[in-house]
Amino acid sequence: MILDIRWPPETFLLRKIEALARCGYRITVVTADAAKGRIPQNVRVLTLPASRRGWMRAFWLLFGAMLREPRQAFRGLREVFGGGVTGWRLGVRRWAIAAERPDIVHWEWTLAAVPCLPLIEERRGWHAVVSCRGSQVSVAPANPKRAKETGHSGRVFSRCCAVHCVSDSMVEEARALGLDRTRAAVIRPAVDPGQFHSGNSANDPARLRIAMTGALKWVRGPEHALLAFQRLLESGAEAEMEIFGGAGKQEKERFLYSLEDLGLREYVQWRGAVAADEVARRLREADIFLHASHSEGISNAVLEAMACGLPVVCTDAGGMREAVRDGIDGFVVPVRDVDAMAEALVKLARDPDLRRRMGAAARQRVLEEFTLERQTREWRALYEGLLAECRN
Amino acid sequence: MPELMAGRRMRIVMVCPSFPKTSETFLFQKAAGLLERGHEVTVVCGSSEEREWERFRGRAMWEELRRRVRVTAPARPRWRVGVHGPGALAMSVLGNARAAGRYLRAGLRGLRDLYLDAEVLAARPEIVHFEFGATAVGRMRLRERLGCKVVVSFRGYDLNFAGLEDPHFYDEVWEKADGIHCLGEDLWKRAQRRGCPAEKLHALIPPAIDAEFFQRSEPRSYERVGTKDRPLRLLSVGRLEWKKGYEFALEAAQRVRAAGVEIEYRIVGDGGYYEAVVFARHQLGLTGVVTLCGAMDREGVRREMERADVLVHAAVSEGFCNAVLEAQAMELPVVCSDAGGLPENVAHGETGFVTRRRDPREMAERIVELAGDAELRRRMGEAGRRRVETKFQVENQIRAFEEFYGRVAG
Repeated sequence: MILDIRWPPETFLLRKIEALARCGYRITVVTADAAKGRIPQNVRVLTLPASRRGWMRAFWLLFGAMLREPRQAFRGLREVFGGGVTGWRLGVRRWAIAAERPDIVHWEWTLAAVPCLPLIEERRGWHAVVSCRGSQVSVAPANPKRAKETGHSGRVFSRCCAVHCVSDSMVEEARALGLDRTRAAVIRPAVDPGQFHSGNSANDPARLRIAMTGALKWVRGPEHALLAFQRLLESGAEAEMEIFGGAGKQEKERFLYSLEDLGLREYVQWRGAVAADEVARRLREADIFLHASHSEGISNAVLEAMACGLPVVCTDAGGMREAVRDGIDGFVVPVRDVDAMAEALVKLARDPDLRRRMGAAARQRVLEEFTLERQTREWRALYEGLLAECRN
Repeated sequence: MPELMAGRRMRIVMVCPSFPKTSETFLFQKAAGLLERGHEVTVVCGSSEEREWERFRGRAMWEELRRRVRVTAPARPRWRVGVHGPGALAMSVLGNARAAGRYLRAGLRGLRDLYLDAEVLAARPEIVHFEFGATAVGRMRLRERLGCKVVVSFRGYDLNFAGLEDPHFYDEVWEKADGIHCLGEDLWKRAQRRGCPAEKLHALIPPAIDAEFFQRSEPRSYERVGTKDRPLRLLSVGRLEWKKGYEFALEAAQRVRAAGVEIEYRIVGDGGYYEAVVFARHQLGLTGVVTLCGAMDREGVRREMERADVLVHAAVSEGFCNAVLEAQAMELPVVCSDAGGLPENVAHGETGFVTRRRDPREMAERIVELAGDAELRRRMGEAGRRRVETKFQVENQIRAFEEFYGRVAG
């Protein structure tokens, strides 16, 4: 059972879910935020009522829980009627788990597990797994205003049977919050090399194409990326930049203003949020991938670009070093260091041979280290290991 | 009571979204100043909060102004129009029958407009001043229907962001407004880039601050700073928004420390980019060094400025920035970026340093330079005070507006 993600989920989650479902896992996705979307075989999507308005749905959950585990159902009732919003959240999840009786309950987002702590602490008959994927572990704890939420991450880590981290560096970040290393399992994300494959780009060799993907948020350092790109242009290179990713109102305003203010409007195309296949197609036509993030778990965007055979210039944020080998697949530069970013871009811009070599190495690396098979194997080892432990 | 004025007495309506507001103290100042000089000022706004009034209590003309603020009837939700409608209609017809007639001749649409403009109408203005450009869009009808003159102010956001996606956003304003007011040369240029004809009657009136309030209570001591016992005290004042460029300011702070200067950096303000700022602080290893003080009233700001050594302002987009003016009045040398009107605000090399925006390195170099040179800090601080006293005084500003209104009214 996978708790509290949105449906349809992010591409990387969908890949994981589909792969496990193909192995014969029965997966229930519990979500409070469901839209229509294709649902793979062996997967069920259970939509939770987000507020008391959804009492019909809640009633069915309660009914299911009553049949299977009446005690849990009653406890849930007490929570739902006596605990305000948090009680409601907790109670309906308790019913969902009681009704479905899963072997494993996985919270894909760290902070989603915090309100469910009481459930995790008194669980019976199921295993709790929580994921550390990025900003919820590396950025949020620096914010004193969110201490109420993030302060409990350590307790979540110690009460869960296993803690999944997307990179080694994520383990270190989570350790600072109280994670015991022996509970940590590092499973890096995977790319579908069939979807993101390399191809011969037939571009105008005189005009270099820089690509960037991922939602434009402050944490991705879009302004720093633009500054580096501006330096590249100043060095005399003929280049253009293409950016794929949505943005909120504030971020959009910031990005458009920066473009205008830096005089880059003619050189940068912002395409907004675009479907994965289209991104893959456009990546194949690009020459260099730029990633200026201030903080990362391990970036799926970078892995996808590598799969497309692009040399990467990325910042040394989180687990990026575990994906990109500096000087082999691309360049890893210090975070927030515009000069270093620009220097790496210039180096690649001037040397087509280097681009080709690094691009090929990047693709090779993804084919060896970030395949779906490897990821699925590791997930199975983690989940099945938990069950085996229990049987002994 | 009103002192004698040079010109004649004018009936002026100031239109703004909310009044009073601590972040828009200049409007309060201006309204009070015009009242003091005997003009009949009415402020028409969308909302007016008791809490904000309390913050302004004790200022000159507080009570008089309170009586002169009119809140427009709400346009949403719809049913409230029904409730307020008849009253607004009656008021406008009784208050200014001729103008109301002109509205009603335009039919249903006119009725709708009349409802929205009722408060302005009732004040029978000679001059309607839209204090922010964006609020003037779609309301130029006032000019013909009321037979008054319309003045529109541009203060930053309205030119830098509002309606950018529509190239004709301000066309109506450029065409019909009788006068355009900009805070400075930079904004006037931006206005022209957005379509304002260069020959349009305009005035560049910089903001003014209360230099009496923002005054040191005791002379500053210029000691050696940048050591463990006496770190260099940096200060920033401004909302935590991306426009204020705090990430670049923090990167500069880190470079200053790397250059061996011990600092203590306080940031006054609150806002939507709080998390980005705290994370940058954490990532740059400045957690014990940088304090986020939250929003403060002007007394608090004054206290902070009294204590600080240098004001840092790294904005990437700015109108003119009153905090930078206040700092100069408080004899604080300023290190700021060259965004918007800042180069007009700070005299580069005299009252502070203007550096390239988004360039933490240059900013850090200037801060280090100031840290090492007490004499320079003194000189710049004193020059700053003089600059504000000669160029950015409230009385001058009020007089400039008076003169501008006079020109507009013909």
